[in-house]
Amino acid sequence: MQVTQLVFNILTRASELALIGISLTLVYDLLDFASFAQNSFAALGAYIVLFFSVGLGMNLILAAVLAVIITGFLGMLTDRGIFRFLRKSSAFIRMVASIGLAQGIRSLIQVLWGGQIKDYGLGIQEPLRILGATVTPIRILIVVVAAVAMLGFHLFLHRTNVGRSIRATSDNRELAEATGIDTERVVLYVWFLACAFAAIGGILIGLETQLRPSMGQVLLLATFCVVILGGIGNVYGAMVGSLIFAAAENIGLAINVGGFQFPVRYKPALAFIVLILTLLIRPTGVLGRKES
Amino acid sequence: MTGIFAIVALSLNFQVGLTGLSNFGQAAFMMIGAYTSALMYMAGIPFIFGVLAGMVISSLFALIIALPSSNLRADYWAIVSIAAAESLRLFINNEKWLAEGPFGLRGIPRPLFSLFGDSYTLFYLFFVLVCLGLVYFALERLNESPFGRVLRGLRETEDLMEALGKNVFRFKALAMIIGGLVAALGGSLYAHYITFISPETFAPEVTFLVWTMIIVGGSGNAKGVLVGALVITLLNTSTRLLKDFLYLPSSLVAALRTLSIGLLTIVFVVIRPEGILPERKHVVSYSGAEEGAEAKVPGRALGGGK
Repeated sequence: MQVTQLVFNILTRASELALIGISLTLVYDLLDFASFAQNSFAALGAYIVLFFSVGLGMNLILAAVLAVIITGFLGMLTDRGIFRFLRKSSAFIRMVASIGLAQGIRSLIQVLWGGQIKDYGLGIQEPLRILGATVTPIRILIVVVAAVAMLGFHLFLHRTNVGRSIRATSDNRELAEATGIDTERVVLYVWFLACAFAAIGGILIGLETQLRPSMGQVLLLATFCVVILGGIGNVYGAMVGSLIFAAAENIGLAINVGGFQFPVRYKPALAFIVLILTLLIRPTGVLGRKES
Repeated sequence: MTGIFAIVALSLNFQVGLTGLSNFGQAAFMMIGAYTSALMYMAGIPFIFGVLAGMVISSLFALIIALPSSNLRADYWAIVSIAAAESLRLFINNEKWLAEGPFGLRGIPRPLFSLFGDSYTLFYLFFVLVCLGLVYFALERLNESPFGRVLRGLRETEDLMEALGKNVFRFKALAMIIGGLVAALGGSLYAHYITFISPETFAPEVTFLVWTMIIVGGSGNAKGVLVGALVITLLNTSTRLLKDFLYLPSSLVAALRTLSIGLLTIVFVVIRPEGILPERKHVVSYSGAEEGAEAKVPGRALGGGK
């Protein structure tokens, strides 16, 4: 496979995973648990867009923006409704709750939208040829949106007061509280951000492929891999991790050395291998995890 | 069905409630047991050997999983175990020569069917209950034994156990193996009851279901787990029957069922994480009457500093 084609494939895959990865890692960092629900929020976001665009005939971009905001709010709601009561419980309990939540959201999607495969009705795209690689405009959009989102996030974290308070709470919760930061508020902001990001990720995936209720959960392994690779709790780590993971996946599948070829059917197992390798070689991840 | 799931739930409880390992790949063990005994029985090998073979392979798998993961934190463990289970499922799904891949095995014969004919379900129920009873007793005995105490110690304070000279890995691996075998038994029983299995049957949802049984019923408490299995299976099957009354499409009902189970998990986790029947605390009572006894305990706690 051509190098440029590989690069584009990697970028696309990384973009989709990175956003959900950021979502995961945010929750990990500020709420100190592994949320299995973020992937389901991603799916939810994608489906909400479906409701607005295909159901109500709204412009796709507008629908997407709306869906992202709504999903963010839903994330805040789940904090108020569920995780607020679990602050004092162990991280394990919160994780189990998130699993229940993930199942719940997925079933909810199935109840509201049915289990059949759906899509945004964009039709077959005419691929462009850029630098020798075949790329559909949608994929370019995906990478651009992801890049903009991540850049925006970086600026938000460093240039706004809210962003600063988030970073402060993440670094040292007690100190942040002592300086007057309302950490409960910060937690809500983080839930909003995390679920909004997850929604963006889900929408992008929906743009590229189709929508089905399990679309979030099939990525569970990959997104967790991305987060662990990059270092749990480290947002930039999630970005780096997604690049590494996407690279490993695409390069691994492209290998064709002396007749040995990694079978495509086993793609998810690749995630497993990467995970085990990471845990064995460098469990703190490439950029290191935050120490609480 | 309650019986079958109770067996699997007990096996998970052994690993989770007792030892504190967050195993989310339990369905894989069930799957191994189910496929092995089904394949072997269909090849003409006596039922009991198929089941035992399933248990053995399961133990191997348990060991393999335990190897790289014994030092991981709970959430890593969860992810690794899900990954391992999914990889196994993927393998069986893809390798058609092994077990028909995604189409699954159909028409799995029921053992001793010819003997019982019409009243077969009753016989099978009895059979399952007997197995359940055996499993329950065996696991409870282990729980009460010094082995069980070490496992519980591992759950609470792993470092202390290590300081006491216990080989942590060995105990964790053993817990995984025992849990794995029992789950395999459950899987085999399931396969021969439903007579159809496929990789889809053992999706992660199954493991989550079993987890809910433990959480609702009471993790760490075998009786509680039985209660949990009963409650959840009732919920499962009753909503299945509900479909006929409510005239809703069955996919909708299936989704509602999963939804309610998810909600139930959340509710229980928030309100009563210990479950319906929490674990009995084993309290060592000090006979305060004897001074010597009291004096001994603090001495030991202080260590060999004397």
